[in-house]
Amino acid sequence: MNSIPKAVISSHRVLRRTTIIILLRFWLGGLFIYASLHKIRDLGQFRDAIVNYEIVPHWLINITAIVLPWVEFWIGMFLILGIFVRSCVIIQGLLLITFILAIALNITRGNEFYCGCFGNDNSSGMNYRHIVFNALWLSMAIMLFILERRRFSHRILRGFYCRKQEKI
Amino acid sequence: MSSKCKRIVIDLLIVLAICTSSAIAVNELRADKIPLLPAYLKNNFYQTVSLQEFLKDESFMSHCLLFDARPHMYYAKDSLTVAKNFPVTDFDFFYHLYLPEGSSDTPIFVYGRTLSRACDLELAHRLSLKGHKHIVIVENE
Repeated sequence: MNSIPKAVISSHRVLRRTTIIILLRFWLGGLFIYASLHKIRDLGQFRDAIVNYEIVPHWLINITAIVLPWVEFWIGMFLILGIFVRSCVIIQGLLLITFILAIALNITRGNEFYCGCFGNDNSSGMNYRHIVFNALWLSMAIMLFILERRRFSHRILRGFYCRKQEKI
Repeated sequence: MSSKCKRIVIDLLIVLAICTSSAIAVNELRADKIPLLPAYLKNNFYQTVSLQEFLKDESFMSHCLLFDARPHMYYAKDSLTVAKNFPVTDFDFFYHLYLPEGSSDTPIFVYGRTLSRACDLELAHRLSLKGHKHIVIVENE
């Protein structure tokens, strides 16, 4: 019986790993860009949503409302483009942990209001489903952090970076 | 710190700098921009009186208006019995309800603060924009 060469097995593993990384990057990136767009469009509504959570001090509310949607947008963008992947995943993980804690806190407080996640539809109320989804995305982010060990996912960017390093 | 960690920290700083600068730049260009700091923080020269002092002196209550500026949810939980609920979120509606035209000389005491909303300061600021001069913040600390 012919045995499969080790090089073939290894290349298959690399291919599988690369596919998983690309899928995770596009899913998490797309998710964050989608979540950021309505917040950027309707800043006032997002500001009110942050106020309702009662976890950010009043003098920090406006800064959070202005900056947070753009953090989500650029993280999503960088993940899709494959730039600064590990750093973006760290920020994304921290954001998701914050969202989970904020939602859990308000569920225990018994507060019922629009969560501010994805647009102003009726299904955006506060419930445990949000925690489950955020936990799922957090586990995907952790998986991406473990699998992707490179600074840039693209060969072109990596090559450019390496050439720059060699020159230095 | 290893070079890998250093690289991640540098990347984090680059990403955060891009996010912050683009956020501030776009906000400045918007027609409906919101200020970085709430407007009432820049113009916070209101007289203050402690809650104990306010409750001690009955003359306050006889000739003035006392508003609890927090949302109704907080007002219903705990508030002074003499206070009227004036949620700052529905300013226009309650302004016409409680303050008819020509009442700009009535002394107004404003009460109520939550962690994420300085309702008292915000209401005082908005009332001062409407021309009310005698506004006092009742501090509950």
